[in-house]
Amino acid sequence: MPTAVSGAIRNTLLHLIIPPMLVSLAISCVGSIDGRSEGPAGDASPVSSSSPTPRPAGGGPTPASSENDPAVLGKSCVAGQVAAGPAPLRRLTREQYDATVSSLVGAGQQYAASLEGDESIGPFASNTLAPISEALVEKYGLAATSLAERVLGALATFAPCAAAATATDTACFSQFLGDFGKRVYRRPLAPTELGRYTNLFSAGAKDRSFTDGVRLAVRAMFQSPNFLYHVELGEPALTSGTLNLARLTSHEVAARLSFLLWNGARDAELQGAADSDQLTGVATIEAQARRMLAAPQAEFAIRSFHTQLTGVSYLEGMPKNKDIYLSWSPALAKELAAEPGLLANAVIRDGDASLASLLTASFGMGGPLTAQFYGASGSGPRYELDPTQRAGLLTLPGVMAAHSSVDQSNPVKRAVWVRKVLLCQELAPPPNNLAIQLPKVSPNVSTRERFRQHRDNPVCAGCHTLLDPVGLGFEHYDAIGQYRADDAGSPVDVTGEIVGQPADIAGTFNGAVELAQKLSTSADTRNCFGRHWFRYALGREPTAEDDCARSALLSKFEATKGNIRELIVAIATSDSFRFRKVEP
Amino acid sequence: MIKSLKRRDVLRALGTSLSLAPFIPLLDREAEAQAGQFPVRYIQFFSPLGTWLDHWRPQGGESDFTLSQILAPLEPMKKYLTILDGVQQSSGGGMPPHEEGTACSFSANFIRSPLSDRGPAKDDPKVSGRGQSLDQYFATRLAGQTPFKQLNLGVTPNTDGRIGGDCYCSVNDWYPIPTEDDPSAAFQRLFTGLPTPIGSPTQDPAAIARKLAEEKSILDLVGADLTDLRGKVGSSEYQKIDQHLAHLRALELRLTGGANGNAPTKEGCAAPPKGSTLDFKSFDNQPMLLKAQMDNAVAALSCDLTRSVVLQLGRGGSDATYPWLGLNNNHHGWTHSSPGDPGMVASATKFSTWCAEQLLYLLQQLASVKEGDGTLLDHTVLLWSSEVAEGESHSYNNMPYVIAGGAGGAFPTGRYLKYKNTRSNRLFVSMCHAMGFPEVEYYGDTDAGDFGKGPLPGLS
Repeated sequence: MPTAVSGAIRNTLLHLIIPPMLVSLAISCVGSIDGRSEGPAGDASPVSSSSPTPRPAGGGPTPASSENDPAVLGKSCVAGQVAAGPAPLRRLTREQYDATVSSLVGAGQQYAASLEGDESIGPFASNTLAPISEALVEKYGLAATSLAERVLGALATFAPCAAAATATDTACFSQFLGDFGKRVYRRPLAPTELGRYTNLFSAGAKDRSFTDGVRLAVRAMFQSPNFLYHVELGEPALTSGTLNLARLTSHEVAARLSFLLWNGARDAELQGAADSDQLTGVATIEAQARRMLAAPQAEFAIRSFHTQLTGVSYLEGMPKNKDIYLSWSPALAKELAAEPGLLANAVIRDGDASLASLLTASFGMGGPLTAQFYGASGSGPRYELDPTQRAGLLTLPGVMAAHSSVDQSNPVKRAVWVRKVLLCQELAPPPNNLAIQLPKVSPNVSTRERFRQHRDNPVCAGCHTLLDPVGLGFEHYDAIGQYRADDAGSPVDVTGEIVGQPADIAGTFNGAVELAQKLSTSADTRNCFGRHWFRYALGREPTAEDDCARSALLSKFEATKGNIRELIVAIATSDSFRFRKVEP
Repeated sequence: MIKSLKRRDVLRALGTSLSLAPFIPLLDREAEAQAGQFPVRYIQFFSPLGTWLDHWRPQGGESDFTLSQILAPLEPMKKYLTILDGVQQSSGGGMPPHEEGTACSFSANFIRSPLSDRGPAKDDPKVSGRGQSLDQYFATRLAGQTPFKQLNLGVTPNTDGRIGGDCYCSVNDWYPIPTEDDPSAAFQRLFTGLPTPIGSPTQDPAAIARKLAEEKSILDLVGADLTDLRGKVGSSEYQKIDQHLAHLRALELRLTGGANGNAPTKEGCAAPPKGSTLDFKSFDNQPMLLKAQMDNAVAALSCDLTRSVVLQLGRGGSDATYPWLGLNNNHHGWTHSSPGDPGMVASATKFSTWCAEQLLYLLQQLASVKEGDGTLLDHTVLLWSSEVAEGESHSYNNMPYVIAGGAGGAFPTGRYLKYKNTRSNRLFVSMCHAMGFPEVEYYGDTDAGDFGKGPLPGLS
């Protein structure tokens, strides 16, 4: 394949748009690699005159196998010895914020668009590093003001005593704190905290009304770090080997379970389990996890995970060329962006829950626009598709559209998604002394020719022989994910090859359906998927202290033939989920 | 379009019309203004993916030059321009050029953002900088003199909802600082007071005093919770908590600090009409959004609510489309469509020319605000740049720097200056001098060494 880029594909590549990470790599291959000017000001030092040593780029991606392989991770584990990584102070993501306040004050709260963007852990949102900005502190303040009005609008439901309460009724306010305050803080308030809120309430209510006091208190609650951050401190430290560990409290475990499975919501049963301190042992956590996973609320978490994994979160805002794709509309984009979540729920919650099914299922899910898009019959929401044309998450129209250009498909973007996200491979960055000033390439050099130069130049070939032959396998899907048999008048050539890692599925393939089937059998795909759920559950990357816990849960995932429900339960009951490393 | 607003009204809207405590810097500022000395204001103007240098570069000598196609719209403001050719952007390398270039565009950073997974690390022995872009540096230096240390306004419809690596040009402690992309939210923040509008129609002093005390009590409670938490976490978390506490203190100061209910009306202080409800995710709306953000910026500067403003159009490596220009494919895409392709050159020229037209509007608005014998534009120094010189090649060598505004007389304007590989560090030193910090000898991280030392030669 690498030497035979078909005419149809050449046409596609002519305007190939390469993700930022790779773009310099692509271009450097037709120009020169240069060093950075270090000459003094005014010194004429043509950039191309320096002779840099490009970083060896032939290595290609770092194989993910060893990093996520349960056998490797578990090499030096001692049975019964507890270990876990740290629990950094994470601010709620925008989605968690909306979901949590909706569960507290009533459905439909939407603040996300007004809050600043989130950081990422792999493909998932998680705010672990950057300090909060001043503007965001103000926005949380504004949101708290409007949330307080929501609470006051239905105060009787939050504190039945409120209807008859006077401005000095601190007993009724204490009831409110004991219930609503506990749910906002995700734990009961400490005595000093209760005192502070009572003072604030009294200051607001003085010479006015009970509700004026509550208003101030609620505004403070929604700005408190105990609401805005995941506070996971645990019980006093214990020592395990050389590690200082803390076991998370029942309230903290309840919070982790609710964010993992219900995006921050909780019900009376989970609250009761936390209040009666039942969530410190594996058996009770497992029972809760299984119960919550089976409940309708789990739909949200399954949807969120797969929406982020497939990169369709912002499909609605992605431009597509209207002159070429007449059927493309925001309404269609919205339906197609929902499809990965629907498919994943159908497989994981209503189906056999296997990773293989998720990657190879030959049905689509969605509303009337989706049906029309597929040309499918039936009233939905499930549409059976031609299994030679579609296979699971990989070939969903929204996924293909998200990893495309504005006016055409994009083999490089698609291959990067497969390698980085589905296989957890770390692609080597472009050399840091890439061509900064390039000779203009003559327009009569074809793209095919340029791509041949990519492969002939070892600096480029390191990545491009790994990417292009994978991405070209998706050429049946255009920039909005429509299936096409022909491109520019010729039958689409979708022959491809997995070069190098993963070794267990390396070799040629014909089209994305076959690629999906291959991926579904690879240990790397399975172990990578396990890593993603770990990231999603804990909002951080695994550390060396998590090796044994990860080894155990990945082994379980393998032993259950890739059962995703079992993987999630295994994570929720793992040491990494129940403990944290205490840092000085 | 712009409704005149007395300074007193603005202060009242901010809740500062009644004093809880004297706010000395504000008084100094008023005194300064009365004496006819106006502070220099800084605007950091970013547009993505560079320009097309052959169509950007002026023709002629230092003072007798002709503006090229791209900069031609700025002809009416030519005497306020200082066009720099051949200044090279300092950066560390190792990160993707759009992300890195954006982070470095006004900072000369050498290292990666902590949010990025590439490039040299903060503990690299060559690093001794602050990881601060100019807007943030001035915000730090000017803290306490204006209600807002800095404003970070953006037009970014194509956000993926992640702050990701480094595609914001405002950088503090190596972290990218996200822009406010909703002009109406920016308007609300600037002109209606926070966290709730305080200006009571009753103007009952006791009621306003109580309101302020309550706002302070809320901030105090949140601060107490943060302080408690600080005692329970590891030291690696202190930075997050300390920053959060510092922001609460800044809010409190803004709330209670504006002391002078009888502050003299500042000539020219004007607020834009109440923020519109434009959809700020729409590509089609970008011209209106940018204009609204510029109106916010001019109003904030004219009322001396801040002295450091970022206007960022798109992010580095932007994937925006510009339908009103007939540019319906994504920006990053067409810059790489085919090297040297005339269509690409035409697109880049069209986009850059449009940016120059927008800058003209901003300069005209600044010039319409009278300050003493001059205008706000005389007391402003604006620096326009991008993450790369040209999107096609990712070149850092001939950054299309344009300085606009009188800079308070720091250097003569209406000039075209040519350099060869002179480091951006030196341009930034010059900016510090123009903003009243003449002691600054070096700006940015240290990879430029001696080549980055001192101000830009020939500017002053």
